[in-house]
Amino acid sequence: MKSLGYGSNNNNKKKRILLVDDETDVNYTFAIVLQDNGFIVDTFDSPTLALNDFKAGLYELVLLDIKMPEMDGFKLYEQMRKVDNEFKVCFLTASEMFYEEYRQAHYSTIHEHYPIIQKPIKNEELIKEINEILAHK
Amino acid sequence: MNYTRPPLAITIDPIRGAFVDTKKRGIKLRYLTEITKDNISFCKELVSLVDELRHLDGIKGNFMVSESEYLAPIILFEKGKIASQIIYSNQKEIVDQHQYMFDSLWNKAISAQQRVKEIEEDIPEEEQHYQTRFLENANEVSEEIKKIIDTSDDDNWSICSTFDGLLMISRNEDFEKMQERLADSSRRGKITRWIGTINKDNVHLVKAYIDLGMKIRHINNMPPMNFAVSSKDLCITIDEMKGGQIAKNLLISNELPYIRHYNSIFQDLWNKSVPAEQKIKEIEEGVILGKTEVIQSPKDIQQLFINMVKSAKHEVLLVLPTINAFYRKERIGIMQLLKQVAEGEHKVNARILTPTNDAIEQRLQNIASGSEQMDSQREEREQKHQMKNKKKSFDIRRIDVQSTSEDDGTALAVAAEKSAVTTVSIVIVDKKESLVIEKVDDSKQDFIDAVGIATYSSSKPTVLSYVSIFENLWRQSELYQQLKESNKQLELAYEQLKKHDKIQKEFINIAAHELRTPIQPILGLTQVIYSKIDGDRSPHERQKQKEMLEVVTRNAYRLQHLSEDILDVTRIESQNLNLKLERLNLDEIISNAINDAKRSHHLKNVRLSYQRDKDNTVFVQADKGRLNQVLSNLISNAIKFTKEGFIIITPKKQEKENKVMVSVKDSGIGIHPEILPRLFQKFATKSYQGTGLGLYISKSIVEAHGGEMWAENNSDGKGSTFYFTLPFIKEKKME
Repeated sequence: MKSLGYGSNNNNKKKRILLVDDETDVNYTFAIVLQDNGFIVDTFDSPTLALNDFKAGLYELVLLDIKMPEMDGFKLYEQMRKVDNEFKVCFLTASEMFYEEYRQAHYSTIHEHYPIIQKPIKNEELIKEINEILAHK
Repeated sequence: MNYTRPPLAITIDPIRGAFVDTKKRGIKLRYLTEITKDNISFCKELVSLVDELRHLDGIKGNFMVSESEYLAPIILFEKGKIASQIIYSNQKEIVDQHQYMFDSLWNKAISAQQRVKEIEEDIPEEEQHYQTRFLENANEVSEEIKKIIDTSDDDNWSICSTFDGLLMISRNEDFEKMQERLADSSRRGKITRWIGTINKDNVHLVKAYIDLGMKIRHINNMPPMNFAVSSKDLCITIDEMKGGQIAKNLLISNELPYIRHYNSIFQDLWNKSVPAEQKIKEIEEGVILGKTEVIQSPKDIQQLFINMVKSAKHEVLLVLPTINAFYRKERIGIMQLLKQVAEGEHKVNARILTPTNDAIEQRLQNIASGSEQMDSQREEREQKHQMKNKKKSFDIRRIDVQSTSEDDGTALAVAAEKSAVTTVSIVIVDKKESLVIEKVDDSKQDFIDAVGIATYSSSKPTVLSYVSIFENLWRQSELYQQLKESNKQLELAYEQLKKHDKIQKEFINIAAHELRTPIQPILGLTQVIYSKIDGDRSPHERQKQKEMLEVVTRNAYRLQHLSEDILDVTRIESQNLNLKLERLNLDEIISNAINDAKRSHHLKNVRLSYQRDKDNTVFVQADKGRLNQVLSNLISNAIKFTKEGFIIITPKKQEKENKVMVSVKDSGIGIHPEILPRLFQKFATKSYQGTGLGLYISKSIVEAHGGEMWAENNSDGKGSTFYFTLPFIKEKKME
């Protein structure tokens, strides 16, 4: 597959990204865009299944939608952290307004500064953001 | 000497000589006689011959006495003649006896000067010889009274005395005349007025004398002495004349200052008193007379309190000053007693004003519900109706004594209650009796330990005053309850508003999610396809496919733009436009907005410029994204309607108003006159493109920052200018 070339991934080893969003079409779109830019992507539209399959050390980055049925993105993140303390995280949301209030009210343990991507996002901006997160030590 | 003697003393030389001689020898000469109109000139001369001359009415006979001799002429009334025979004695007993007699008479006499004055000034006889005497002998008193009765038939008498005095003149045979005279004089228009304390023991006597024509009135508090006063005479006794006995002492005076004084005292008392007829009616119809007294013994107070509540037939009103006072009253059984009387045969209406706490509320609830014997549902309804003045037989209102309250209205009501109810308990029974109990130590649990003195009253004015105090407090507490009630409802409304607000926020969240999510695959995948257009196709075909994908992309962006605008409008209208305020350099924001616009629009014939004031860097407190949104909106509007010419953006500091005004001026087609009045309303557009929401949103954003936005067509007839203001940050403050 040919790279789209937006800040393309120059590392020899392809990085693995886990993408969890209950919106199947969004998952599908992001997966194509990320794969086109040299990432290996696993997608889940159920947070429960994603957690069941989650293994330590497998993913460089986990992209989590915030508002999902069964379990919201913050909750899923808390559970995943119990398994793996190394992966980087980025949250996704289309409903931007109240996630911070919501997070503070329900997840006081998540106090680190975490990145959030506002949907919809242009493909090149998505890749730019993700490369920045991955580059961040 | 009787009145015939003074002329002899002056005209007969030997006697005169004897007086002169005696005086020369330094012997003190006192001369007592009756000075009359006839002998006055002689008496005046006599004054210079003797040491002292005095007058006494109606002297009979003559005698002289020295320390060793007594001498009395036998011929007594022959004018101008010296007696031919005399009685003489140097016997010590006789001399002593007559010395005593002389002294007694001398003391009763008035001075010659006074008598001379009376005669010369022709003072009427009844006003002569002012004197004040004190009798200390029942017989004398009796005689005197008889005399007064005999001689005063033409006078109006005013008497202030116990009715034992009336009994005295009724029982004493000597005073029988009194009754005849009374009847007789009242027929002739002479009035005898009597003030005393009428009670059921003397009411018959009072009535009898009223029938005889006496005017009688009643007072509760008698002065400490009994007195009778006419225009000429005054009699005063401190004797109580118990059972109608003759007074054992009597002060008699005919001196005018005393008489006037006592007449005025009498008039005061008369004015304060009530007519006997009214009092008799009260007594005979069993009305209890009003009284006010202070009760010192806490035990008595407690007993009286209980008895009063027990005796209630219509109503008991109770005001308690403190929570502890409530507990004390409850401990001595008052609350239970109130409940009993409220339920009893008289269905007494009991109302209590008391400060409460949760525990008391609970007890009151129990007492109140018990007394009404209603099921809980009805009770609830009843309590709701309480505000609508529904009559209850047992009603309690709370006096709130919390000292802190955030609500001004409440604080006012509390303050009023605090100042109105101080430290006393007030109980009022049947609007007829009141008991005001002072507490000395509120910390004491026992009624008897906590209580000081109490004031009991059955006096109508006093009791009614307390009733009115109670009613005022009652109404006040009602108002306070209403205030509390409306506060509660306000809180409820606020809760609902908050709930509504939450629902709206949730709606915006869901709407945002649902409007934005579909755009992601459309935009994302169109872009992917665009970049992968098959190289095998002809360039023409590739171009056509690209064009089609560009249409999809453009419309997807349009949809995204519309979604964001609709979300903004929803936020604005539900007051959920939250700003993330930060300190921003206005220059940077404007420059960025201009650069963005230049990048995304192909400006061929339009010069977009920024007229910046380099000396004035302006900082504003604003939401970066929102401020950029406003500027972008104004710039893209200007670009949209300007085919050629210029667009100039100018910030201008307005120091006086602490504001910066930003203008976006263009040379375009200007604002259509039809649109101008509703330019900033929703959907106000003449353009076939655009939602007509942009300016509405921009204006709302500016206003949310405390600024204003307006627009006008340029005065040169070409293009328009949009303005908005923002408060700027004073740099001094920042330093």
